[in-house]
Amino acid sequence: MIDPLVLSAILIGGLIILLAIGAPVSIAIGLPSAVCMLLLAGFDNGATTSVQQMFRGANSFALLAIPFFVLAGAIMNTGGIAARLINLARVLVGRTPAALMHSNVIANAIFGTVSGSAVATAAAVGSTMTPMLRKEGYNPAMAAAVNVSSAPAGMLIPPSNTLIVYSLAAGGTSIGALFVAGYIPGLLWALACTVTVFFYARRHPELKGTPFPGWTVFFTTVLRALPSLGLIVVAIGGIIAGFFTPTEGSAIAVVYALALSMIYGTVKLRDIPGILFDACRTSSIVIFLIAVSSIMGYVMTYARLPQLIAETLFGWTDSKVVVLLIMMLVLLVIGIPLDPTPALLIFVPIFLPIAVSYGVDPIHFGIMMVFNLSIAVISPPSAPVLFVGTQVAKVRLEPVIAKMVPFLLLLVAMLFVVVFVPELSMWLPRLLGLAN
Amino acid sequence: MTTFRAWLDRVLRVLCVVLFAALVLLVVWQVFTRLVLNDPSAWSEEAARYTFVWVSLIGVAIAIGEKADVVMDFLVEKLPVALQRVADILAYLSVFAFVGYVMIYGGIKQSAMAWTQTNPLLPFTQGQLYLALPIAGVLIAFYLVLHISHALSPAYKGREGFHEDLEAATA
Repeated sequence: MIDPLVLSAILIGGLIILLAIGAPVSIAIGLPSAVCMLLLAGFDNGATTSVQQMFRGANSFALLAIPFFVLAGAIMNTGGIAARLINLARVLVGRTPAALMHSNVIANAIFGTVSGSAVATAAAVGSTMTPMLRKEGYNPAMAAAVNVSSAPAGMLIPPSNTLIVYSLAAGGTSIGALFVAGYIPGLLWALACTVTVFFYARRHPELKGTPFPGWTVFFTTVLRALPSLGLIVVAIGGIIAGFFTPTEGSAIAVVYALALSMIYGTVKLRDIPGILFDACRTSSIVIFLIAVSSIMGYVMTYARLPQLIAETLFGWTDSKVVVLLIMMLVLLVIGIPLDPTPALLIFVPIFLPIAVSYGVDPIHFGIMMVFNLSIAVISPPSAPVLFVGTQVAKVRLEPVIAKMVPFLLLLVAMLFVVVFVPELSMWLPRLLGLAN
Repeated sequence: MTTFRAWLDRVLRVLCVVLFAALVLLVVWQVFTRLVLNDPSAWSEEAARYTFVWVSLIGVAIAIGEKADVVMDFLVEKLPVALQRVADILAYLSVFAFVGYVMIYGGIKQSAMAWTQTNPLLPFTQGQLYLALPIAGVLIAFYLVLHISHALSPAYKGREGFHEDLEAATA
């Protein structure tokens, strides 16, 4: 019998040391877990139990939605769909001051409805917007900050691969319900960025909007964007309405995106192997993390680590507000070095049971966790969206970080609104009968 | 060694693309049989899940071969080159330990234990399906040997290439 404290020390200490020397995150989670298994079950059984857990973790039909949404996003990235959506955003908000920045925020939100990943959004919209912004004399660092800050709206607006990972880590919270719940917080995210741009435009009166292009242009632009938006109706609508599972919906999204890009002529048959390969490699890393985290989950349950952490962190209080505040602070800090997928895989099993015991709905809790971790993906130093956003805008990191401060402050304020006003997440799923 | 590596990279790439394409077709077939034919196919879901495990494990081997796995390197980058070398080698050895103990040793043992256990829907035994782990393990071990020998060679100029797969990080 091994002291749970020893196991906890191995898991946490091993994770920190391995991350510090730059080992892959999956190994930083997996190796200490395998060592604990060895101590618990002996050399042979430790190895085979680890294998069984890995297989159990990866061998899931629901997980298949992740590579398919990645693939659909990759097809649309090369398929010129981003440009159509940006044009749609421009005719919608073209007359406001600093119109291109507002268009960027709106385009990111709209692109979020067809893509499951914030990085893909920042790359697709940012690379199309940057030349336009440069030409009209916008400050490049501020422009990049707008793009980076608004891209994670897509992690909340369905389809969202992050919400699928949460659903798995939470033991099967309905993906359809989570998807619906993400709409309002995702729009609030975009709103926070719009407000910041609004005040920026007030201080920069030289950034004017463009006159309304006329109804003909308006309607043709909307019409040209409609087929891309049809993806939401078909795939996401089908998932929400329960016509098909998230995995089936994601497969339909792939077929739809492929057919559309073929019709547009932007994706050639010979591009397909490359797109398949990229999507496969990207999603494999996520799946491997999930498989390896199953070993950790097994050890954590055995070592009663969730209860141990709960007692240490929350033992001194029984106020729901204080407990949720501590959780959000922990996630904000942990989320900066750790990416959303591993952060969810580690912290959902620890935090969710406590939150549920305080009467928080797992759907609402998922939205607040993903909102929180979405802030982390744009917070330096280890911020994937920030890196991609500055790369496509061809600007240095430091000036962009300075411009992002007001966005980050407002988004953190918005996080607390999302945490303490559950109706923002729960109203839509309840309305559609997906939650009680 | 380098020609073998180039050949292996190509084979794995083709395998990955073919299996992934098959996976898409399997699930599309699954949707079609359920929604259009109203007679859901049981074997295609089972086949999709196992194809998925195989393609993911091969994908991970490729990612580790290309050093595209998700890592945090903003701490290591600040070290002097000599210490970066030590950190790199320790990081590779940690991957080696996991792959060797769990994926290769545990994978072979588990596969042997389930070798004759039949799968009701697929023409493979459970043991054969488990082979994905030791096979991917051996592939990763091969790439690790290359990475470690590079880190030990005079050509080593500090941590490079070890970059994040950015999209995976925020999936």
